[in-house]
Amino acid sequence: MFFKKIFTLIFAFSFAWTINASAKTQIEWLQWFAAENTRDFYEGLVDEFEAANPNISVKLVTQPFGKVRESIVTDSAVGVGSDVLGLNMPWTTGFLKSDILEPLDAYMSKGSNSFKTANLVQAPIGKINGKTWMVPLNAFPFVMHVNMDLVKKAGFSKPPTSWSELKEQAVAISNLGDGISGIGMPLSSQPPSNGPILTFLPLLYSNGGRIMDGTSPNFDNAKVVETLNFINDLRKSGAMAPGFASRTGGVDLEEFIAGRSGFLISPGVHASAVATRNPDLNYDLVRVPTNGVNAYRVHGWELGIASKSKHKEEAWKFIDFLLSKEVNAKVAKASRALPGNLDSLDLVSGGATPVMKTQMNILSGDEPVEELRQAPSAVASWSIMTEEMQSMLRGDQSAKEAASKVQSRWLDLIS
Amino acid sequence: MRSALIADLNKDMQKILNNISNESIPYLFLLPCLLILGSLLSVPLYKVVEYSLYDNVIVQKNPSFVGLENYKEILGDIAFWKATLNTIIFTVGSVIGHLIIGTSLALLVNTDINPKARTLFRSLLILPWIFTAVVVAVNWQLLLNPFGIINYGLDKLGIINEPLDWLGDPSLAMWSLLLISTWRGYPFIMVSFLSGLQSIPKELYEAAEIDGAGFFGKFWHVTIPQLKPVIYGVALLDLIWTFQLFPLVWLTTGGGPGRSTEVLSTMTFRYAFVNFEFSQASTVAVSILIISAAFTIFYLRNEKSRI
Amino acid sequence: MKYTTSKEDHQKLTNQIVIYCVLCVCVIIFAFPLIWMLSVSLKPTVETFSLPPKLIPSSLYLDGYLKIFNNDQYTRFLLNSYLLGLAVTGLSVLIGTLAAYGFSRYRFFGDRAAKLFVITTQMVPTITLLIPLFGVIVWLKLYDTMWGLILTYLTFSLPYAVIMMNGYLDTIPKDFDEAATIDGCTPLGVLFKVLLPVAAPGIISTAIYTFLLAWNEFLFALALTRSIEMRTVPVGISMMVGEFGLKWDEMMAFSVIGSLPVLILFMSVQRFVISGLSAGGVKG
Repeated sequence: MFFKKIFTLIFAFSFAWTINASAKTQIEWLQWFAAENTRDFYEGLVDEFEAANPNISVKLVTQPFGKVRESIVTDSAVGVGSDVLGLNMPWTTGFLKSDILEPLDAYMSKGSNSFKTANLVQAPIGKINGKTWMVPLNAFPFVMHVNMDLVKKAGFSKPPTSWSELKEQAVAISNLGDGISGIGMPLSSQPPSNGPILTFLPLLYSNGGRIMDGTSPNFDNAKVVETLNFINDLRKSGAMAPGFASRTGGVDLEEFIAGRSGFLISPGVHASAVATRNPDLNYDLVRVPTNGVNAYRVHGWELGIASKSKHKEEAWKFIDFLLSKEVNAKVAKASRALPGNLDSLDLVSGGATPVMKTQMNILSGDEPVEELRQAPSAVASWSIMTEEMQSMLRGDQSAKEAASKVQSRWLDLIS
Repeated sequence: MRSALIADLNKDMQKILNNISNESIPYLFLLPCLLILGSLLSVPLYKVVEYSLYDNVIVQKNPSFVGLENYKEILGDIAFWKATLNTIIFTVGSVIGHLIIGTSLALLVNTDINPKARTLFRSLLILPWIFTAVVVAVNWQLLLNPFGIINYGLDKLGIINEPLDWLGDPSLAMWSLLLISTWRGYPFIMVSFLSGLQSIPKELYEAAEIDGAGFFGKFWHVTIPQLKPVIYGVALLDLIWTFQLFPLVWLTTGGGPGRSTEVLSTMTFRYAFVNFEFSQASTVAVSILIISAAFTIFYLRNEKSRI
Repeated sequence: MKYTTSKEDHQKLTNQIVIYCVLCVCVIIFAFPLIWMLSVSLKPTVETFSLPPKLIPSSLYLDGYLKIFNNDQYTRFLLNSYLLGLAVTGLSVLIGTLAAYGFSRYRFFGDRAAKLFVITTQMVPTITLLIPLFGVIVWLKLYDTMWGLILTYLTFSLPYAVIMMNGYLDTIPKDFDEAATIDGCTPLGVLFKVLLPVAAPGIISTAIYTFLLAWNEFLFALALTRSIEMRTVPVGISMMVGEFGLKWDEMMAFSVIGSLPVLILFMSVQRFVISGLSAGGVKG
């Protein structure tokens, strides 16, 4: 106690670098959205909310994306957690283990809500342990970005729609010359080490496969092996960019934008990066080539409430505001994504670019898949997939061996 | 008589007080430092050790005491020993690299040249140190990319035939990491030794010159012995820090490809913030503490013989 | 003079030329990654990834820099980082030198244990210290203040300050102290009036280390602050690594802008890194 007093006395007087508390109820919103190419947008949203709700003030706590998941756990352990949390679906099981999230069922059934639950993107609100833990702010379907110049140069007129066409075109593009590759596999171990969920999972889903059996890992199945074999084939036939084991998602994206790879499987949001950085690129966006099934991996920015929050009602009020039709449409536009509240789709589609329209068609016509929300230790499982896929592509093991190793290491991890 | 006695007594008291205050002088000098370190770090250090004896700390409200179970689990894990071996390779390699390059450059920028040029060279050579780890990592990833400028240059010079995947090839990744770590860490040694060199009296060099010592003779017989106190402390800290260096390794390779560059600090992080197993993370941390402490005690013993 | 030692002069000139050449080669090798960094900051990202890699941008591109200059947030981050660095540096040098003087000039009960404790605090990976130390800072009500960061960084920098200054003071002969004590100096007087001027080079290296520690640190800077007004440069840079891509040009531009004043600071303190002893003229 003595030290505490001395310290607080000294420091309270000597430094002005402190924040003064306000009389209103203040809620904090921890997110990384405000760091993602949207300068002052979220500040504006907060102002709008505060104007409508004079008793509540919202403090934006912005963090780098790579650190948000860690911070939520750290803050919660120390007891200084934020009220409204920006979330990614794969973090769910880890957070449930430490009781970080508040169940939202009671809030969602309120009559005063600005949205209808049925209109939300469904993947994030699916129940785990019988409860709903998060709501979708927006959604990013996974698609394939295509460099049409390279496709045409390689002698094709249309982007590939099936696996066999993908392989054929990727090989032909790789043969064009030094430094040009058909497709990249960002399988670096560098954090977040999430290459497999960027490229492997979308291909697996378009093959009708899954890596989960309900809530338990099921990586060791025929569809997974078939998909791994397809990726291995791309490598063997020279269609894949070299340096897969050190290739980060960032480099993979930039090489595509610079016109050095034919195809990029990633969230549709990257269309805007292409448009701003290399507007001259003859570019198209298509559904991930299928092997029989029209399915896409759905990703998004989610919102939840911290179980330790002292202002849950206010927190929900703010979430409800963000999901309301007009606001949600604005968020979708600012984040170059589709809205979490599908009621806003018509507002977004006004003035939408052709690539955005393609994404809307995928969203409305194809089957959405999201497995990582209920996957135990999802984040650690990517590292395992990354390592075993690196080893497979190096030629050290077969697809079958890689699949069973991922399965057994994953089970080890959660036992 | 009485007043004399009192005066005597006073004198004695004064002496005792003087003695006390004389003896307490070094403690007073140490007080602010120990106060800050002690008040801020003793609880966290204790907590880390405590965490390692429990299961499911931090994520659960009531973790259960498991004694040395975590240690049994970790010490029985082959991955831990692989990471330990990697850590030793990384630490020894980096520290040797830091010492060789840092010392050579310190000597070089301490030579008798134009003071303005000297200042410029000293400042330019410090540069690798003034960028935060994430920038260093991202920049080296670009440089070492298969289509990056280093591969391009080596290819043009005819040193390699096809681009190497410096950070993605398991047989190259550790070497690349050592290169980056050496580049990043030498300025620390350079700066420390450079100031150490200033305390060596010129007369010693002149005397050695009269004895006919050449460049290496002077370096070996004058510089090294005179620099010893600085070398001792700085090399020890460099070893301890490199042994648990985290951001650079994590951000550059993430321990990969596979686990070929996994060191104890990245393993700690993996346990803590990838898997949320803080007990296991603390266990690895305590292992790092034990290895470092054993080494330091041995080291300080040797220092004693010097005094 | 000139005529009698012309051979020596010639030798000296050759030596100088060799030294300059070696130094230039070293700078080119060791600064090359930074030249690339500068190059990335001056190119549109598409050009950074073009083939073959180009070191010289094809045209003048300053967007990266403009984006930094046009955003007050970044100015704030820079200001915070500089002030933080200076505060930590001042405190570390002061507190560390006092402790180092105690270690260097006195033998006392527990000196070895105290030294071991100072070093031991450096042996636990900071990642595991994060949560408990975070707890202490919150308990002290210093969360989201610069003081929380200053105290935290002191715990990292003090051990180096103590060890470095201890080693440095050890190299200064005890004759200095004795002469001053005879002249009636108190221990503090000896330290500040006699030893410190001679120890200036050691202080500079301690200061550089401490400043850069505070300047580069990321993990605690992120965890212990929350308001955008409290963020530092490393946190700002990390925010340029987004979920869907990196802002390569801005990231490198911000790094370059931020480090220029630091570089100037180095240059201006370098003149203190001169042989203090020979200036004092005391026999070794």
